[in-house]
Amino acid sequence: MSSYLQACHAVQSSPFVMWFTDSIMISLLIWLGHYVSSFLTIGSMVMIDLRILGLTGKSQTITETANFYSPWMWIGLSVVAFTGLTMIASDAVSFCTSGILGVNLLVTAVAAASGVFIRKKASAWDRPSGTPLEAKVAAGVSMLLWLGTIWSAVEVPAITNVH
Amino acid sequence: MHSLLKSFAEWLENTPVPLFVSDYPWTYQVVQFTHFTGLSLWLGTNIGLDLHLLGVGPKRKTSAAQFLKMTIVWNWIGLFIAAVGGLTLFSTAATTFIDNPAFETKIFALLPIALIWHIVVQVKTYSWGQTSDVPKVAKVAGAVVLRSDSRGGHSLLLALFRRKHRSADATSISLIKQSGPRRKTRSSHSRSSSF
Repeated sequence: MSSYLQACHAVQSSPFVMWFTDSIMISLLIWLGHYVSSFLTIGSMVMIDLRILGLTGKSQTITETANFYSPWMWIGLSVVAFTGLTMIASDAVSFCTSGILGVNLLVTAVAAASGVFIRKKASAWDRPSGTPLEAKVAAGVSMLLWLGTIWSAVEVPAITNVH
Repeated sequence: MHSLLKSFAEWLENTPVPLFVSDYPWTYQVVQFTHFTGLSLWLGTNIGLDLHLLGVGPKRKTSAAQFLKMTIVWNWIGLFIAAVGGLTLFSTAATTFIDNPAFETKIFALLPIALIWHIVVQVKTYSWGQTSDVPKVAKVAGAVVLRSDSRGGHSLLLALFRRKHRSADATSISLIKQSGPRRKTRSSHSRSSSF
């Protein structure tokens, strides 16, 4: 455990991390990028899920909706991952010992996996008879997972006291 | 004017909802969750419309106007949820937020301008976005809304102020947990709200 903490401390104290931590503007840009890309990711995925549930955009097929929003989900997720890692690095010792951050990362990973699953299945779910029940269940679970990422993300600063 | 706002903020902090949130710290996370969820829904629908206007992304059968018709209800539901969450977040530490120039800029300048522009674009989209051949002015409008949607000005200014005064910031959650029984008058303290 002590070598793990030492490694976290080394990351936190590395010249590159110290450089952007000391720069207010870069820190702000990272923070801003993290929030905006989170909204972009979650908003995009929620729109796909709402379409599958039949609650919006019925004049577009599920495939069209997924084709439209999926790239933006991945762009958002990439920026979230990059900015999230830099934010973790800036306070590595606090974050690396935070169980709630681990939960947040896990839920986000599972939510992203659900996004991949839905994207792959989208064309099969466009049926003349209507959207199958399995699709609606998948969309509902996906929405809950993404809401879970928001919830756990809110808990991170609340519990770690790192903002 | 500021003294009037301050009086209003003091009154607001002592209304039942913020006092309840302060007495039960877990409710603050619920309120933040609500605010972020609303923002995600609002931004997701906004981006879809803006990208339609800009003509970015794969070719679509639906025009921007049709897309707006499909998503406008969810767009405003998202904004309503975000507003409810935001107002509750504000009310829990109103006197602190009122003293924050970044927050004042966000609420009294950036937010009204962005909202008015957002409404104008939505109204105009019904004429701009009837076909896939969107006029240039519509593309510019979509790009502007996309930028304002990032709420960059909001969080940038707010965070800049908070970062500058980080040493003086008290952690809101620890303060709440340390607070005693419900009291009528509240001293101002900073909050860890995100925007």
